[in-house]
Parts: sequence; structure tokens; C-alpha cells
Amino acid sequence: MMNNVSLTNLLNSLEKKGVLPNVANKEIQKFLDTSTNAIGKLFLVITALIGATFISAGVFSIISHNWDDFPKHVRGALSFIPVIAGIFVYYLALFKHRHSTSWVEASSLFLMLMVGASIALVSQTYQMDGDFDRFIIVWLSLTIPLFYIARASGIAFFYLLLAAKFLIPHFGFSLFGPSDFSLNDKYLYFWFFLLAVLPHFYITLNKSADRQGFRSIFLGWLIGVVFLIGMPFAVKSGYLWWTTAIVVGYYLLGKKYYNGNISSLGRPFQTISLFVLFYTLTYLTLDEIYPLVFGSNDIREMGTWTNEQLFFYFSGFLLMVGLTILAVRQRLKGKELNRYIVVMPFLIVLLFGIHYLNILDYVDLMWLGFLLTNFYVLGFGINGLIKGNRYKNVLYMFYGLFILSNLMWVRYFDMDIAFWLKGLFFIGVGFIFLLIHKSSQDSFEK
Amino acid sequence: MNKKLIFISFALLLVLVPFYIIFNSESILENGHQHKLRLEGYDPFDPFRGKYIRLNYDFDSPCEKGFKDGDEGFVVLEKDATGFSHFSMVTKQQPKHSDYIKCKVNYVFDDKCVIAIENIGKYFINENKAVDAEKLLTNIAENDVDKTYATIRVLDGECRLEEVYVKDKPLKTFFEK
Repeated sequence: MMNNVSLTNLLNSLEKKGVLPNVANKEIQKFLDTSTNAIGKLFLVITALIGATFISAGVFSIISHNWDDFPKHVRGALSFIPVIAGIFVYYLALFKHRHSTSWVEASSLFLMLMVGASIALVSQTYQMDGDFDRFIIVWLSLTIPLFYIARASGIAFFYLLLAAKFLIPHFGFSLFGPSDFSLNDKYLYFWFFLLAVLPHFYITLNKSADRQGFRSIFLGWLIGVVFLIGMPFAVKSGYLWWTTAIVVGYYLLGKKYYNGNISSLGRPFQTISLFVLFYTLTYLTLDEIYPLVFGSNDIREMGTWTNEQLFFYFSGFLLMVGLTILAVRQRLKGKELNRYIVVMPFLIVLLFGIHYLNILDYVDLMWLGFLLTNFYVLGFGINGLIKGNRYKNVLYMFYGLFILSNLMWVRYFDMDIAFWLKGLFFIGVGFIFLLIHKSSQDSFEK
Repeated sequence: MNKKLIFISFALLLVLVPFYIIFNSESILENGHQHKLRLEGYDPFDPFRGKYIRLNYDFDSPCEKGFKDGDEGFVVLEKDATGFSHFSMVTKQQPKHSDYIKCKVNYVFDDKCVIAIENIGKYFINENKAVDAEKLLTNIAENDVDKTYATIRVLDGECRLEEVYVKDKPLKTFFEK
């Protein structure tokens, strides 16, 4: 791989030889400078953040020594040093280096960690083992202004990681292994801290374009992944409504603000949406999982549900319906949206209907549910291959290929038909893949 | 100007939090009632605040009927003839006198509750003294349980660990050079 200096030398020599016009050479070098500067800026921010983390870790280590030979009042006064140091560095960033992203990001992270250090030092001095949850609540509440005063985003990583603590279930252990399990009853704090960071995310978005910079991509991945992983614990019922809402909502958000970004890494919400869609639907093709997923919130027992279950069930459903209406309207207006994502909510509602018809025992329509889902995933995979081929997007083609092969492997292991028939069927499948290879060969080996 | 005002308000808020914790703790330690509790200890580690000795007490206490696992309540402290206190009853209603602590009921069995109380379970100690302190506590406690105890201060349902004693001397004094 050629570095920028070598590339510049090559361009200059090409210009001297008359291969490259002067104007083109200048434009290329300007482009190279811009991209180098952007990556260089990112390098500076990351270096500063790592530096701030290590300094803070050092401070925590010094605190851990426990200077208990000092009188209590001296230790009490010393407890303020970390937070005052943090405030001072933050002051420098705000008023002396306000245009430096690395200063703002590193000082915000440093201040956030120093607030925690000061509280830890006081609780050590006064022998307070305390409630760790309360400590986190105070700490994170004091961190929220940092998102808005200087608009720091790097702290979101630690902030959301700590907020996710309120989703961790309780596992009890006895002498003979796990003894009890209960979900975290403080999950609403997760919602509160997540909602508190969303306006910051919105502010960072470049609303006038469908292309975003590193900050919004970073926040997109962070918020998208944290909410996706946290959703089963943060939501108390209607999981399938919420999953479908995530698929449609993330996709629409990504399409609106991130569609101009080139790689799938630069389109966090679309990438997550496509991944969840594939993952959820593949799950629904498994006959052991199907009744579990659709039967998890049996609407015939709605009378016994708690208020929070009712709230999450209907809010998830309304959210899904709202986002589906939005997607359908955009599609009708001619916006290019993946039809498999737009249709997914309808499929889910249909599968729900089939599930409840099955429960009535009049008819067995389970086969229809599986068949529909299988064809849907199959169509989705083929669509990926066709679109990828049309737009010369190899990654998208990989995605389509992955969906198809994954579906086929799952079917290989759970298909309950005669072995000879199954053998013939999968030989056919193998030949279809070779056919795909043949049809793509021309365009890639040119 | 506006930005400076926001910054100053935020900085004040940040400083006020440790100040409030110190003020609250000092108030309990100054004005709270003192109780002696029998204990035993060992030596784990806290990633944020360094080494500590976990202090175990007899957390089984009689309780009013109707308590379930995870409920919150108030535990009453009662002094016996030897001068030591024990947890005498877990109640739902806040007692009228001041010798009680807010607690959480971990388990209920046979009209008894196993409770959890904040802020008296860890004794933070210098990293160089922690291992010796644990050994000392264990050796003494094995021979005579009344020779090791902790004093706590209790005020309006809150409590703070005041000191850990071995043979009526503060634990830290055993390691003074």
C-alpha cells in the first residue's frame, strides 16, 4: 500500500511526464490532504481520550491506596481535588481551546471520571459501602450536562455502558449452582439515561444531508447497538412489536441521515436493521422457537397483565404501526426503500394471526407460517444478490449470499423428509449456488 | 457570559455533591446514637475505592408479619446488658424513637427476616494494612467474639460506620509505627 508522500511524488512525476494535467494533480492532492486531515483529527481525539482514561485510572489507583493516616478533615478536603482538577481542565477546554475537538472530548471524559473519583473518595473516607446503583444514578445525572455544554460525544460510551447496568438481571447462587433469577426492577433508569442522550445525538446529525461524519456514525453505532442488546431487558412485553419497530425505525433513520455514506460501517442503523431482520426471521423458521416467540405474550391472558406489560405491549404495537405507515407513505411517494423491510410488519401480523388460529385447534396452519417465512427470507436473500449485482455492491451481495446459505443450512438440519429426497433437494440447492457463481463470473472477471 | 454562567452553575453542582455527602456523614457521626455490634471480617478489594474489610453482622432479626423478599422496612436496634446492640425487630412503620435504620429484607423465613443495611458493611483501609488487619481480626474473633466489634452511629434511619475495635482499641492503632 502506498503512503501519501509516495503517492504525491508519483503524481508529481506523472505531471512532469505529461501524463497527468496540472489541474487534476492539484485536485487529487487536495482530496488526499482533506482525507488525511480528517483521519488525523480522529487520531488526535482518540489519543486524547485514551490519555484521559489512563490519567483517570491512575487517579483511581492513588485513591485506592487509602491514605487513612491523614485526619478525616484533611481527607474530606482532599476529596474535592479530583473534581476541581476535572472542572479546571474542562474550563480550559471550554474557554481556551473551544475549537479543539480533542480538548473538548478528553476534558469531558476526564471530568466525568473525576466526579466519580471524588464521590468514591468521600465514600471511602466515611466508610460508606453504599448503594452502587445510587452512586451510578448520581454520577450519570451529573454527566448529562457534559453532552450539551460543550457537546462532547466520546463520554457516551462510558455513559451508556454504566446506564446498561440497570438492565443486568439478578443471578443468585447457592452451594449447588444458580438458585434464583430476576429481572432488574430499576430498568426505567436505563430508559431515562438513554432518552437524555438522544437530543445530543440529534444535534450532532447533519440534517441538511444524508451523509454523516465520524461523530454521528460513532453515536449511531453506540446507541443502535446498546438499545438493540438492551431491548429484551428494557421492554416488558410485546417483544416482537418492538423488534419489528427497531427494524423499520432504524432503517428509516439510516435511510434519511446515513444513506450517502459509502460503506456499511458508515451506515450503522441500516446495517443493524438488516442484521436484525435476517436474524429474527431465521429464528421464526424454527418450529421450536415459533410458538415461544408468538406465545410469549398471550393476548387471551391480557386481563392478568401488569400495567407495565400493557404499556409496553401497546406502545410497541403503536410504534410499529406508526413507523410502518411512515415507511409505506415514503415508498408510495417513490422513495427507494427495501420492500422486504416495509412488508415485514405485515408478515409479523399475519404470523400472529396464524399462531392464534392454530391455538383454536380448528385448523393447523403452522405449515403456512413456516412456508411464508421461508419464502420471505429466500426472497430477501435473492433480492440482496440482485441489488448488490445491479449497484456493483459486493458487500450487499455477500449479505444476500449469507442469508441464502444460512437459511439452507438451517433447513438441512431440521427438514423432516426422507433422506433421499432431502439429498436430491440439497444437490439442487448446491447447483443453484454454482449457477449464481457462473452468472456473476462475467462481471467480476472482466 | 451566558456560557460562563452555565459553566459556573455546573461546576458548583459538581462540587456540591461530595460536599453534601460529607455534610450528611458528619451530621450522623456527630449527632447519631452510638451502637456496638459484634462482627467478623475478611479482605476483598474494591476497584474504585481500594482495599476493605467486609464486616459481617448477625443480620437475622424477628420481623412483623407480611414481609416479602425484597421489601423495605426499618430495623430497630436494642442494647443488651453487655453493652452490645442487636437488631431486635424489623417493622413496616417508621419507629417513633431514633434507634432504627432503613433496611431491605433479603429473605423471610419462620417469622424472621434476613436484612441488608447500607454503609456499615465495608471498612476501607490502607492497602498495606489490609491483610494484617484481617489476620488480626480473625485470630481475635476466633478466641473471643466480644473482643472485636464495630461502632456505628444512627440518626433518623441512616447510619455510618464509626470505627472497628479490637480489644477496645481502634483497629488502625495496631498498625501505627
